[in-house]
Amino acid sequence: MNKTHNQKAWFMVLPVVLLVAFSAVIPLMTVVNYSVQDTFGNNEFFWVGLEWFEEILASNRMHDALGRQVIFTTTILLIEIPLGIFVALHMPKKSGFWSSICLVLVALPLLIPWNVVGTIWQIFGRIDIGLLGYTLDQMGIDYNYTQDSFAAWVTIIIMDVWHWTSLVVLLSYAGLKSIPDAYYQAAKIDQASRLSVFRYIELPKMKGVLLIAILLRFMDSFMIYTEPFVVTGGGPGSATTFLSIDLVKMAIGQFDLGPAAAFSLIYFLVILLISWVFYTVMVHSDKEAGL
Amino acid sequence: MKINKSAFIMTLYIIFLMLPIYWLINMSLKTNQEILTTFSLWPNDLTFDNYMVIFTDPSWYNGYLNSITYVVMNMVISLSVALPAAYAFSRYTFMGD
Repeated sequence: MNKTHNQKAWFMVLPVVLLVAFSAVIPLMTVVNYSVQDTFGNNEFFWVGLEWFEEILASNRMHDALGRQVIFTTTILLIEIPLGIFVALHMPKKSGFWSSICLVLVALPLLIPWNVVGTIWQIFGRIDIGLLGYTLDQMGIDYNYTQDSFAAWVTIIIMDVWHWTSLVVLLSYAGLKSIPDAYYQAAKIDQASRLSVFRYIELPKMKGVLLIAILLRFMDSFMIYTEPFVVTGGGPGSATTFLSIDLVKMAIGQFDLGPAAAFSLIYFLVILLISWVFYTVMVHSDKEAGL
Repeated sequence: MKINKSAFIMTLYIIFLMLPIYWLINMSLKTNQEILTTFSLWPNDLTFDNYMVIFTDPSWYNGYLNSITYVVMNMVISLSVALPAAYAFSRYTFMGD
């Protein structure tokens, strides 16, 4: 399309620029401001440079929270992505009554507000009034997610799998449906086994969609806050205190604005870096595929 | 008896997804007393009282009103500032685009 050169178009962009500047840039700059200053109390601040950053990067508490977060994210990705692809391979392919029913039921957990998910699972896991807790108790398994850190981890991981696997299922299903039938017919002529069809036709064609799914799940699980907070509030002791829960404890519980601001900047930059890596990989693989 | 493998796997998965939602509906049809004291797979005496409360008690339905107000305002403001900018970016070139 031919674009005309017209400087007056700036007036149309101005409202967006002002709104974004007011609601995004100014708070970000405030956080940067807090991260390089310390306070005597009574709203008096003085410059300390990078002291908060050094203290945060060396603190054991942050390393523990980061370790827990990495373990959580890795486990979640390892469970959800294969399970999502597996379920998507078995969804009904013809667009008819059953495929619509399956799509609606599969998408249902995605629509629930996140703290409601936390509340559902909190009650679901209780031994006295929850189905899961009661069943496990009747089977004789020792299950108490408020006191046992392994049970707390298992509960949070299963809750996240329940909540978000459907996203991977829907994205993979969309990717699978876009493969033209000619590929499957060629595979039938060659008498390829089901596993070969998956490895050589379906997986390469789904690569773009899978990268998006992995990126979305990685970012979401790295930033997870409401669901573990509602179910365990940080876990027995600090067993399920992930990065964001730790950050909020520091910022609002202890009101240490300096370290909290430094922490949030580091958090933001880590997520930005990894998203950039994913984005570069995606764009590179798109170019290879000739798109 | 021929079992369709795909149908079996989908049924298992959908049962897994529906269990907490079934429990939620189960609890919503019981009274508070019954939830806390007995454990039953279906309410012993079905009651719609809970639904009546959330629709008639102001402290509950104010939540809905606030949410709707927030969403409508959000939509109006976002659309009204984004559409002119999108038009400008797509039709014109100017300094700094």
